[in-house]
Amino acid sequence: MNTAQRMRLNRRIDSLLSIMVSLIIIIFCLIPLVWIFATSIKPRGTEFLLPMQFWPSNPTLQAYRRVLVDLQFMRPIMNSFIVSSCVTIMGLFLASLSAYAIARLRIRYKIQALFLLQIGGMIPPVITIAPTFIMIRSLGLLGTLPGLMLPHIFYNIPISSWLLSTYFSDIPYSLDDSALIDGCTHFQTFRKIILPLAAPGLFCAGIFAFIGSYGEFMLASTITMGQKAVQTVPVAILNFSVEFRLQWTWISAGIILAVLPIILLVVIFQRKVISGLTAGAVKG
Amino acid sequence: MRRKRACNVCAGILVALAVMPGLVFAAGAREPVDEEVSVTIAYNQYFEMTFGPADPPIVAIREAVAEKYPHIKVEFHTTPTTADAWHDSYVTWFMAQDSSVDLLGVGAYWTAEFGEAGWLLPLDGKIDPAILKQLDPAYLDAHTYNGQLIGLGPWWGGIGGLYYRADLLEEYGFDPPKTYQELVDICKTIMADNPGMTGWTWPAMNDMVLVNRWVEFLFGFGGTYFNEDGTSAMNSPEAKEALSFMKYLIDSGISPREITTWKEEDSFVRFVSGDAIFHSGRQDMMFWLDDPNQSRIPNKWGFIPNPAAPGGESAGFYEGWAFSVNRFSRNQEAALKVLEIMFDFPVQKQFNLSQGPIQANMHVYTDEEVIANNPHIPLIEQVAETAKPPIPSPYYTEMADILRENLHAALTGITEPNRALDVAARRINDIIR
Amino acid sequence: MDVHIAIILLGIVAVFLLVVIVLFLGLTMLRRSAEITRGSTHKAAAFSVKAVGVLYLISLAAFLILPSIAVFLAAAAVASSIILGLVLARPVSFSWTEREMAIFFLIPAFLGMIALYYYPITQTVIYSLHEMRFTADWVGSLFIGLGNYIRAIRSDTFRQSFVFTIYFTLSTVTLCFLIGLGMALTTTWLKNSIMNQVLRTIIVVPWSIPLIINASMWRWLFNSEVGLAVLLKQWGMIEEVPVFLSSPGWAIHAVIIADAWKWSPLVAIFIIGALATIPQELYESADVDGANALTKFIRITFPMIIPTVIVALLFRTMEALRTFDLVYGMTGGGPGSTTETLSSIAYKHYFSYTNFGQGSAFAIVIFILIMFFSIFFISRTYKNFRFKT
Repeated sequence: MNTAQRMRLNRRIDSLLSIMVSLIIIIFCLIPLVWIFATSIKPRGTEFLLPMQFWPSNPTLQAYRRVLVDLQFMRPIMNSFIVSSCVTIMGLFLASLSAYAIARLRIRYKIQALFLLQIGGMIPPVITIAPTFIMIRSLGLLGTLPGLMLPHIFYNIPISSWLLSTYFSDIPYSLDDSALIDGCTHFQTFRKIILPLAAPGLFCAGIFAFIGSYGEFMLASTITMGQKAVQTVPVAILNFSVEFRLQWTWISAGIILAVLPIILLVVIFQRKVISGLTAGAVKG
Repeated sequence: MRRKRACNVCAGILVALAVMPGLVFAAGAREPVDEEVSVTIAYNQYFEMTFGPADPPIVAIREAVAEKYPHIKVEFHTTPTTADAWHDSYVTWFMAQDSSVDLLGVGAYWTAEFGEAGWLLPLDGKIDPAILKQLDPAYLDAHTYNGQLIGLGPWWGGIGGLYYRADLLEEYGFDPPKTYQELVDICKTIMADNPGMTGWTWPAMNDMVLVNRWVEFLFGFGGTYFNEDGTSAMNSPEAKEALSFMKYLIDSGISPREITTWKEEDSFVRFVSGDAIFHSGRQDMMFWLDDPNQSRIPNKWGFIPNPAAPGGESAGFYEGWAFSVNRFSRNQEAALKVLEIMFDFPVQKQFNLSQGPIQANMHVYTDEEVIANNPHIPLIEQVAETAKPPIPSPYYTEMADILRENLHAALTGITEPNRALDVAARRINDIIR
Repeated sequence: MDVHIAIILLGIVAVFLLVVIVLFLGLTMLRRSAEITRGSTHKAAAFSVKAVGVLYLISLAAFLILPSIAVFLAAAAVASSIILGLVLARPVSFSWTEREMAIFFLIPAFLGMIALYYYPITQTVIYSLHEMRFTADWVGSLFIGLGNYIRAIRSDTFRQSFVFTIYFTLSTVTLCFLIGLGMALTTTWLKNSIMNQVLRTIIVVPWSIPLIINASMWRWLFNSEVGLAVLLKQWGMIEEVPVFLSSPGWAIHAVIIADAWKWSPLVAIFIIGALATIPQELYESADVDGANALTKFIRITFPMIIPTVIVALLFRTMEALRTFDLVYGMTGGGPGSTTETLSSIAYKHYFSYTNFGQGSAFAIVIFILIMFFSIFFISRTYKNFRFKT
């Protein structure tokens, strides 16, 4: 065997190995979801039969019909989407304003300001529940979606402002100066020059905010006051698994429906998240 | 240029200032115009369901209220299903002095806590005596704190008892057990012949249900909640004997090891499917048993008071759900009127027909329609005599948590039973002090 | 949506904007007056500027402690600073300088922070110093100093949950690091571009799943009667199925696995980002020197990604220290109280035992722990900021 052959063989073994390792990773990432999906298409009651089947021999979509039609599961999904998208947009707006000021305007105490914003991210959510509840109650927004959106907007500011301020600081400063010379105000510079350039960073922060708001549970379960019409996905799933403790086909169908939209979203924007982080935000 | 922008800013502020009172006024203007009042009732989803030949409770209430007080509108607020989450959401509301709910379903376990906190309106002298005297005073005691009646109940109550397989016991020539020893002997005999058979199922998940069942074992072995000096009696010799017996049931295989992950339904499923000889649980499960679609043992079962050891008393845990008026409610008058209607005979009868016993109104049990609908009422009445209320303490939730943690730890073998109870008693005493 | 909710929302937005504008005007005027008085010899003016500045601080403190009296103080502060500005900084100019714009940009975010974070944390500190049972009003409660903390430290619950929280954090952070690093390295190792894209896409999937749903999923997976392990037993891969969620050793690790599953993708994403910034020339020159893969990893890759890894792990640590949802949904703290985290017992003291004082003490302990890590976190990231100064 000559060297060229050996190198080719090595390369082939290398690529085979790498594919096997990535298959293991893929299985690790997907097995819980696949298992839940397999449960969700089992006929009702057969999920407890022994011996067990991994994949049902007679799959059925009954559970989905039950969950979507009878239990109106689309509603929490819609609610979550409404809340998360509004929160993402508003939160990004506020966070990028402050991140812009911290990163790109000549002020003192930048790091202190950023740290003050980060303090929010360190507070255990338990302690914000009661004061926030009282606040939302005095605003008359208990049991409504806006009542949930308002706090969520600010819940995302710590992480968003951190991601964005590092991102903003990577954009050349000469851009602002020339814009200011051209007669732009600071707000115009921010809106017309910096924001478009920071689009990957905004995407990245936006996905973080969206996932954060979509999955937030403790406040959502308090503010929605148990009203079905305004439940978000996490609250609905928890209630589900309490109400139908033994109906795992239904719970599984609910879980699959609940995670499908967010998985799609993340999968679509996956490249932007990675490129947003690559661009400096997480360098230590 | 500069001046123009200054003008714009000023104008913006002025407009905002001008709009503000308008908004406040608009928000304030949605007070009811005529004399209509609405009373909001908080209960979990079961209030909108029916399991018998009557309308769901909330519908029955609405109809009765509309007939007597047409100006009162009854709204419904769904609370979380599980008692833990339910309690936690009440605490959040009360802490915020929320008035959005007027009438609340309150479990007997929370009577002392909410009473101590002063969150419920005392009802003495506020309820029509004609209605009050129809209600069973034994049950009302469980909803009284410091001599003040703070809830009417139960609108629906649960009592723990022992289900047994009448056919199997008869086949082997046993009488229904009165003592734990008899029960163990029966299990051993029958299980020896039927290898797949489970002896005695009871829920022992790390949950409130475990504490509920524990109360029955505790009194069954002659224990009690508190010593005479007010300290916890959870480490008394009787209590230790009771827990050792529970552990023995699991170790000996009479109760399967999985019960430590089971709630009521899980452990009942095994009994309904004909795979268990005994089951400890609430009386409401019995309506599954006669349903041939869900049960493999219709008419092959019995329901009796829990067994007891010599020197102990047979006890059934009482978990009654009362209704109380929110101290912070703005419509207390109307709420009291609705409360009276809810505990008047016609509505109580509807409750019984839709959800099954137990109701506070004693006239329900002499009603022919009720008796015709539910042939098992004598069985339930006999078990109801052994009713034991939950630990009467404002710190019930914390005590129950301490108990369930330590009991569960003992039953799953993390700690030794006597030590678990010593720890529990010490921690409960810490709270009381 | 209801009309009246829309009206309320409009009102909130209007009030918010109004507060932002008023505060902005007030602070700007104060700044301008301060700048003018700095050089001047007019002592009374300098003094009044300082006094108004202190008034701002007092009204912030008042808001955090007793919000009901803060409105008047804040109004007084704003009004007096505007008057100062009108008197001292004449003629009033409405073209804002860069620093003034920065104030304007920062106010909205900070208003939210004050209302939703600083106010609750201040209240929690105050609560934790009072005996507060069955009440959320500290004004009428007994002041007991550090009593709640002493009681917390003495209690078994605290010790147990503290140890568990630390153990949980250490294990999940380590697991996340190892798995995340493995994932990230595989994406660079894998040369097949389609597979690579698939891998990168699938890696992010677990991260997107809400924690409480994650908890339900894993509860089903770890079911000891019909869970995945039962299937493995059927296939003859394992001997016996452990009772995962009700035996303490298993339950603790089941929770850790579920947490690591959700979060290691995030660490992987961070590391992938860092790997992409390593200049290829480094590897090329290493190839010329004939270095093998391991040497290249130790000499080049690892040193280059270590700053990112530290940031990612600190970020994870801060999250893991306050884990609540996962435990709440998966084990409820059981078996016994073995999987109770500090956050979950704080929650219990707040909402189940109605003991705000004790619950606050637990919450403050978590906060201090997180603070400790976050100081490292911020100082690590600090030198990376190339802010305009």
